[in-house]
Amino acid sequence: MVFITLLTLISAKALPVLNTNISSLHFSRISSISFIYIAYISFNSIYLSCIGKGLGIYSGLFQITQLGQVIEMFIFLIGGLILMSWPQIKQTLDNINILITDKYSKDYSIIVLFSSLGSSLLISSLDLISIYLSIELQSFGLYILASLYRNSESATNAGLKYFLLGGLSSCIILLGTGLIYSYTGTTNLESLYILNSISDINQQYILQGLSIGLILIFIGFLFKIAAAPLHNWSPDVYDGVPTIVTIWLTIVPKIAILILLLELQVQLGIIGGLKTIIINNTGYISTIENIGSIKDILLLLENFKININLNINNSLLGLPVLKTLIIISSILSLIIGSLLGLAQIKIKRLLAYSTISHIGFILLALAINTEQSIESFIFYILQYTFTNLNIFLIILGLTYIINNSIISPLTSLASNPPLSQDCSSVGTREKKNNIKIENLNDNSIITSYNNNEALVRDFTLENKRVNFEEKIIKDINYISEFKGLFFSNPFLSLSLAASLFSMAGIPPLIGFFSKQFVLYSALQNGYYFISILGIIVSVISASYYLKIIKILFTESTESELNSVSPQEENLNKSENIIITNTHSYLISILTLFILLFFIKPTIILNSTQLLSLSLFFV
Amino acid sequence: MLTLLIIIPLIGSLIILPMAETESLQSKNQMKQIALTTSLINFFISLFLWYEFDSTTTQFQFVSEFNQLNFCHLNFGVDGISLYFLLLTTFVTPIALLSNYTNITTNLKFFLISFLVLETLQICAFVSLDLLLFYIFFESVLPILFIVILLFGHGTDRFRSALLFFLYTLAGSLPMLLSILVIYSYIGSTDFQLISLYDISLESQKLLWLGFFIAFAVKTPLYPFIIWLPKAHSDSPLAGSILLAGTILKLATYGYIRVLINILPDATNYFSPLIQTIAIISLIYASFSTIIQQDTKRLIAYSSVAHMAVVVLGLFSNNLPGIEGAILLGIAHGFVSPALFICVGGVIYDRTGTRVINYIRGLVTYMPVFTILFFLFTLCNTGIPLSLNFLGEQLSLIGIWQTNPIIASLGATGIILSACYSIFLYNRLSYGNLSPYLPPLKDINRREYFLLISLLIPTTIFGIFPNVILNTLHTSTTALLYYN
Repeated sequence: MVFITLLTLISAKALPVLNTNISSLHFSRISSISFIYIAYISFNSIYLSCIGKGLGIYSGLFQITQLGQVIEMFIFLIGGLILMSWPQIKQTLDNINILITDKYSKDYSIIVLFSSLGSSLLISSLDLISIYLSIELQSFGLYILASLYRNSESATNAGLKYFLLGGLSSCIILLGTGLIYSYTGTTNLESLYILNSISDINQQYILQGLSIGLILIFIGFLFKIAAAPLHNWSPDVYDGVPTIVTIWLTIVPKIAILILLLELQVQLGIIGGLKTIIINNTGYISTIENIGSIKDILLLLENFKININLNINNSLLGLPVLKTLIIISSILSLIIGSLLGLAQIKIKRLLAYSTISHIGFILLALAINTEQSIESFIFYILQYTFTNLNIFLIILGLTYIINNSIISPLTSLASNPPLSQDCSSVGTREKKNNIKIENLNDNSIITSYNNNEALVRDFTLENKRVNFEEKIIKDINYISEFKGLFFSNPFLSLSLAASLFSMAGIPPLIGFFSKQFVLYSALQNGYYFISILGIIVSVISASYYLKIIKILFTESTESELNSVSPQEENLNKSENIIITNTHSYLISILTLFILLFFIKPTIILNSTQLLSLSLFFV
Repeated sequence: MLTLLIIIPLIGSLIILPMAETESLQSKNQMKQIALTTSLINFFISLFLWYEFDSTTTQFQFVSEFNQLNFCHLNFGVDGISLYFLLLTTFVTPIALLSNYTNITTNLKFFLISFLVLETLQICAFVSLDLLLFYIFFESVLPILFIVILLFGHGTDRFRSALLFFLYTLAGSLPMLLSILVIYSYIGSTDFQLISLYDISLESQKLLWLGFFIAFAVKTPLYPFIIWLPKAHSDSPLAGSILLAGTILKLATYGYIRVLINILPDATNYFSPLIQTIAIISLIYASFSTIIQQDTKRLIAYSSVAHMAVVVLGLFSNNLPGIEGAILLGIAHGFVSPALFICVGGVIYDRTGTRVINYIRGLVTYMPVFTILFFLFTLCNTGIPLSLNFLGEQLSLIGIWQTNPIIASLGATGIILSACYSIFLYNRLSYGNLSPYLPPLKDINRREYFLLISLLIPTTIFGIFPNVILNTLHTSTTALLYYN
């Protein structure tokens, strides 16, 4: 079903090889449409009655579950939406519409297709081998994606960093897989679950190997989703790569990995009940279920030490270890994500840290592992994806607007542009915003302007009505570049503010509800310490969201603006450059979704509830 | 009818939304008129609601339910307590819109829409009968006010003020969220009526109480948490200050009554010495710091802290005069404090461009009508007889005297101190030589006159006939009393 369409897509990738002269714009549109079509197909297959509680296919290498289908649909939908907004700027110069697209967009679409194929396979894997293969398929796509912009030093730097560290984490996963195989002799998850459920104290050595292997696998995956102690790569990578790549990196791979973790955690969680009984027999820990406070966790760790030392029970026990691991990671993510975010001045680094702190909430919901918390887990992922997508789309839109308002006076005066003056005007603008840009970066931008201008001139000579142009679009780096945007683009800035408020968890917005559900399930299971930590952390992180909003709404002093380029810049900003219709529709739909969610929340909430129940075999 | 009240401001803002904001005066006037008409319609509907209100029952009236939400029970209703806060909101919103009628020229559309939406949100907060919804609306005014302060505020320090306002309130109210979630997990519902039927043990009540108390203490504000209030007041635009003093602070008053006293009575009884002490500290502290203020708007803001402390004293006196007096004082403060803000932040600031007291002197020479009105409001603020403030303070202090005479006598110093700072302020601004820094000033115009007079009339009328309000309060507040 799904895989067949995926196969057709892979063959669709042969397209640019066959005819290289197809426009990159068309290419990204085709792939976007095919993404949405796959989403539709997987939506259709949810209702197949044969799925029931899960169906193994390809001799047990993969499985199809309701949750997997829904999340696959979601991933493809999001993928389609991201591609839809592929860099296009509509620029109107003397009644000529120029649609500007990026020259890398062909490669981007292909790689993205590969990577999302990996994600969808990862969600439905039922075997350690297939898990490893699909995580590699997904990650390799991402590595290439990160270093796609070969001319930019920062992007290649980030890509290399991502590759090396990602490779390390894949190694850890592989090590875990190998350990499990050597202890149990099987790689099939189904058999592992069964093994775990029927084993008793006499077979502890198997369980020990199993749990060490599982811990390694979990650590590897936590690495990939940039949870806290293993987060160091993510701000560098997110910041280094262009925004359009960052969208993909922050959203899609994380969904797939988190769902896989959920699958593992839930399957082992049901069995985990046995483990606590075993521990109770030995009398070390009375209440494992309430790992609410740090004290408890320390106690737990101490007890493990004792257990290892005394060699009673051989217990590195399957679930509590995983649970503790996830909880520790979640606490650290919450703290690090919000504290380090305070010091950031670059927008994408800041968003990377905010992602880390949100991952903390998601992991908390994962660790609690009850029906309710799983429901909140799924809801949090959906919500966070939408909000994050919206923020990045807006940033993209603003990028086009801000940075092209610098270029456009040049192109509109294409008849006599002394180039040196252009460079200087770019330079002065940057100085004005108190931005230090590395020299290398600056040079590359200017050269791209050079090419670009020549292209535009050609097109205007030919006098075509609609032109396609290819160039590199400069990114927004610093938060201060947003300064006073409310006054030129009120609606975009308001939607950005709404999304940021939603991330900060301000009530009527969707972000509040997800936090509330997570906190509720935490409180209900006695995790008081972590919930208090969670609220403190969300106050701290609110302050950096507010910092962005402040910059959006404070006016840049008029005199400065005018001194650089009299009036022209403003005119161009408001009239000539528009983000494309699809892009703005997308932003407005997502923003309205964020704002008005609370009026009719039942659709999403009911479906997440059903999904979480489907995991618990109800 | 409640649904109407909630929806009408939204309809108004939807009408304003597509209107193009051009430079022409006509389109701006049109937008302003639409906004003002909307809020006035809302006010008259709320008056009709008051007329229809049945004061003989403690039941919630005009209940309207919506079953779309599955995470809580969305229903709205009014009883004797929330009725007056509702009326205050619908009354203050047109005043706030009118107060900045002429001096906001850029982003006018955003200004009008945000105040209409704020009205809806506050009405929702006062009439929602569900704890979680109360929290949601209690919080949801934050982002809008934050942006309003940033966009239309005065002074270079406004980001810091807005940030303090936002973070203080957010940090305070998140413990409330935790308490709400704990209640939800105990009872399985967050409906007010259901919760008040349920008996929560004293031990857990204490923790829950603290969670709620932090939120309301920040919003009131009580002593350790008062830093945000003067800053937010002085740096926000006039309409923002009016709204903050008039109604946003009353959200906390309402919260004390609705949640702490009603749902957690045992813990309230247990903690009332603590809260009385805190209230006394913040009363005296705020009064003394009011006297030394140099910025007029900050001065009024500090005086609101002192008045709200008296309200808190009355609320936690656990007898009928105390609670009723507290509600009366809350309403009176909702009239007088906006009026004083209009005087110093609107009338004087528009003409002179300064809020520093030292630069302003001898206003009576040029502005006799204004000084008379200003004098009347100053007297009301000190709580002279025949004003609603007097009744409120008097009843609150009588109530607290029955509980604890020492606290009451300490609280009574607040009256003297309030006379000190109010009269002192009035004296410095109005009399003496005409300040050399001042240009010739015009007396107040028609708009300002109507603004001030419309605030003065209810203060004195209710001060003379308080029974209009008290009759509807009796039954509802009697249900709040705690018997050991």
